[in-house]
Amino acid sequence: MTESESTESLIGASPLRNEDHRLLTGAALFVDDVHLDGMLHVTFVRSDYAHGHLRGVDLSAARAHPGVIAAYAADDLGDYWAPGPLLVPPPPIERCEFRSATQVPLVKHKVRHVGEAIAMIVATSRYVAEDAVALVEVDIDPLPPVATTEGALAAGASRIHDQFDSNEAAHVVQEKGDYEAAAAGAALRIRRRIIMDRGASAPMENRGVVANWDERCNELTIWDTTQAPIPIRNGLASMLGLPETQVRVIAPFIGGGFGPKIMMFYPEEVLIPWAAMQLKQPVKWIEDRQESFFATTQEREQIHEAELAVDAEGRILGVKDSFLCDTGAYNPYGLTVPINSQCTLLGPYAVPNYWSEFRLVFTNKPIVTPVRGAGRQHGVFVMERLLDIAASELGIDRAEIRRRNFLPPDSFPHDHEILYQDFAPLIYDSGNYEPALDRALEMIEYDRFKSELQPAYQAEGRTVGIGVVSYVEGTGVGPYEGARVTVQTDGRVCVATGVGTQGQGHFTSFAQLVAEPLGLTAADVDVITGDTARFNWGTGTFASRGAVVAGNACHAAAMAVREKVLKTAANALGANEVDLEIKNGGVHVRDVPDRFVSLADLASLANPLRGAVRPGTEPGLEATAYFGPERGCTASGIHAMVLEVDRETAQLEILRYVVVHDCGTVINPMIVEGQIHGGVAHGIGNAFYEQLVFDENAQLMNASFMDYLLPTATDVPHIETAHVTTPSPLNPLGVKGVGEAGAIPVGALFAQALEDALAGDVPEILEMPLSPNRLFELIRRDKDA
Amino acid sequence: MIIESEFLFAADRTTVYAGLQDPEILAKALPGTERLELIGDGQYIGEMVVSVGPVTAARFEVSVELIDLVEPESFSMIVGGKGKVGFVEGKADVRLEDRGAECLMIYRADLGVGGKVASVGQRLLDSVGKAMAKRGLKAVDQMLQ
Repeated sequence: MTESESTESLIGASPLRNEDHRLLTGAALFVDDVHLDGMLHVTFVRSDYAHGHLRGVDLSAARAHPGVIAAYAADDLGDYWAPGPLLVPPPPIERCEFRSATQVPLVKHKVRHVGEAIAMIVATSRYVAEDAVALVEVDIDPLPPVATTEGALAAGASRIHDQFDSNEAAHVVQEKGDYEAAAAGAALRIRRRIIMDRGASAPMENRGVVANWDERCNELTIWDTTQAPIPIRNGLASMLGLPETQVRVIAPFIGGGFGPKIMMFYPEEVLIPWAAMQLKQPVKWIEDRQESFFATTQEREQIHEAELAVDAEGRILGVKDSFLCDTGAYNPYGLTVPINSQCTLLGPYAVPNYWSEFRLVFTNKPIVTPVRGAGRQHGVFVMERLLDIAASELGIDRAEIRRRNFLPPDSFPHDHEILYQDFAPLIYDSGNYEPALDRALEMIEYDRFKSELQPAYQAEGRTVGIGVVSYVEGTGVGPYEGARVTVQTDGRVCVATGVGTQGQGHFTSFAQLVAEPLGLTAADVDVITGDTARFNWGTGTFASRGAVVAGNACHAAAMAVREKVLKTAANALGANEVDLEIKNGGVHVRDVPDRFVSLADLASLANPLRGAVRPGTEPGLEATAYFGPERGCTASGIHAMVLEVDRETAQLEILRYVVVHDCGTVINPMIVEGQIHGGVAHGIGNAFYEQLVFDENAQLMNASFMDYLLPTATDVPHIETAHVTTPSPLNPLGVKGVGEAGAIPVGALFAQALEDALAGDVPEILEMPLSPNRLFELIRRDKDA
Repeated sequence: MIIESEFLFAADRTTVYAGLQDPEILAKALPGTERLELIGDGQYIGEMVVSVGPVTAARFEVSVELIDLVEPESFSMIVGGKGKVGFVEGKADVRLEDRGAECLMIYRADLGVGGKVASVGQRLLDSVGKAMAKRGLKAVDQMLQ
């Protein structure tokens, strides 16, 4: 900002959230709140088998059922049937083999995971549609399924996609330096096999789509729980043969995205609008919780064989990692997840030599696409575990080994010499890790815990440990977002942007960014997101990029409007622009508060009636701006925890949880803390509760919240947060993303704190997630005997 | 899912073996069977109603095929059940040991389960399966008296 008239900046303030009134009073529109006259309801017939040839679908009884309007199998879709697009093609990595197989709207030949959609029933009510599903005869000739990641490449494994000669979807190698040469002189080499299993994203609101075809206006309106309304609009327009201007996608309030809602062109998303056009009636589908476990994408299954080479002081000489990553039955999201794992493994550390290889494999499980963290957890877990083991072998304190390996503050920008998922080189823009570590150690009283508290707990017979881990997070990737800021004639300001919002507080943080240069409060600014009729360009909400990319666009548009405001006010007040101040909903001449004109009046003046326009004048106090960073910016942080273990029940209690985070400039500390809290809760789930369990036939065995354990409020501790601010040089506001940060290092932290607590009574923890059951198995009791 | 156990019949081996080939008695071995008819050489079809935890009174169309018959020592069953809540399919191996007036049955079933019954009922399937097998065999035993 060039100058700030306010004594207190709005950027860095925590005003009450603009959206909360609507959310708390039930006035916010969610997709399921859309009710239209004559609306029809959809239920899908889904596969009970993980793998098999589809021999036939008999819809005759379902079609004859009273209240059923239509029933469709793949062949009924005619030319509309086509596999979905490859959403993210592989980045131009030199050693990269890639094979793409994307999801289909309805199974035509082969089912490839349990829950894959086979037929669609449209009826006058959901009840009727559900009843009709039971009347559909599906004939599947089962094939042996590929039920595990390693099984995918085993000799004799069933081929999931017949066009490929194996189940390998990709093989990628990235390297810098010469690991083997560096490791040859190492004082210590640690090699471990590390496994992470699947979890669900489990948003409070499942997916849903409502479509309304207005034949008179030739206009299709779609309400969709998507994180990417504009790409969905563009894609559906193209599939349905409509101009983009005649398709409107509204992503209203959404009860949590967490990544799977950035997966685009899900079968349901493609079919509901098509059915609305076929039937010329509004059509609604709301995913139920059980189908969400199969039909919504998932994440996290990887198996790493990783090696760390360090010198006698614990300084990293190099890392070598080879891993398998499960992409499920299809891979529409390309290599985003494994490349995130590959890149994020390097963490905040100086790693001079790195050799990393992965194989992405197809399995007969639901599709894998990014879920909050999107593969970053895996890299962090591997690196943090190897460092812990090295520290223990060398007799170095675990916080100290991290400190010794941090990239120093003068090493930025730091080029890791490999490519990131945004197709740009992995170059950390900025960072300052040691002050964050110091702050976290101070907050959690690390030294005192070790010297006083832990021995005291031991004396009381309590099992309590401490952990401290660090991580980085690539955030705020391109390509771009835009925003249009308009001062309205009532003096309120409207900002429209193309990203969707799923609870991130955009209605407030974007409002702050617009209000600041216009001398307003956040409550004076109405934010419009997720409606393609209100803003035409954009990419979507993912990769912790909303505040970085859309935020900077909002701010740039507001700065452009500010210029127009000052110019119009200078005319109106007969003063020089340089002598004007924007404040309190208007403009006045500096030190002359009476020479004032309100933004409302300026908005009217800027839309002159006849005879008052000078040639070349643009009407309105309005501007549109776009922001596209050259590459992502790197946020970072430290998590620390004091954890108590009940040896008898293997239940845990988190006594302290500290997060010191660096997301550059903080726009709204309350919202940043909220993101961190949510992320930590998600991370706790992934560390100790949540696991999707498949049997040997790739049947999911816990597809309900009776059996799939989510952490509840009582499992999530009070979280103490602090910020270190290292502004990003890659965007004018200096912000970095924070949406996924809380979730990323939690598994590594649990593992370290558990090992510290149980000192020698657990083997090395090389797997995630754990559970009370699993921990109970791991705790050694033979010593007690 | 593996269901493996033993059951001691209060009848001799020949009686037990013969009984288990009779649709009426075989139906007793599968609790919840509402109908079981012999349709060909060792092949039966019928209907069963089963409850597994939250999946209540689910109706399955069942098929049973007796194979590898070694009278009176052993046989195997290919079983299949299909309903709107999912499917059960697999193979059960049955061995009968002669214990004079009694007969010891040693059985091992390897069953695959899919659909809703797997995804929400799996946790209970093991115990439900074992309990059903026990209950069924007891009923057969009584019928053979």
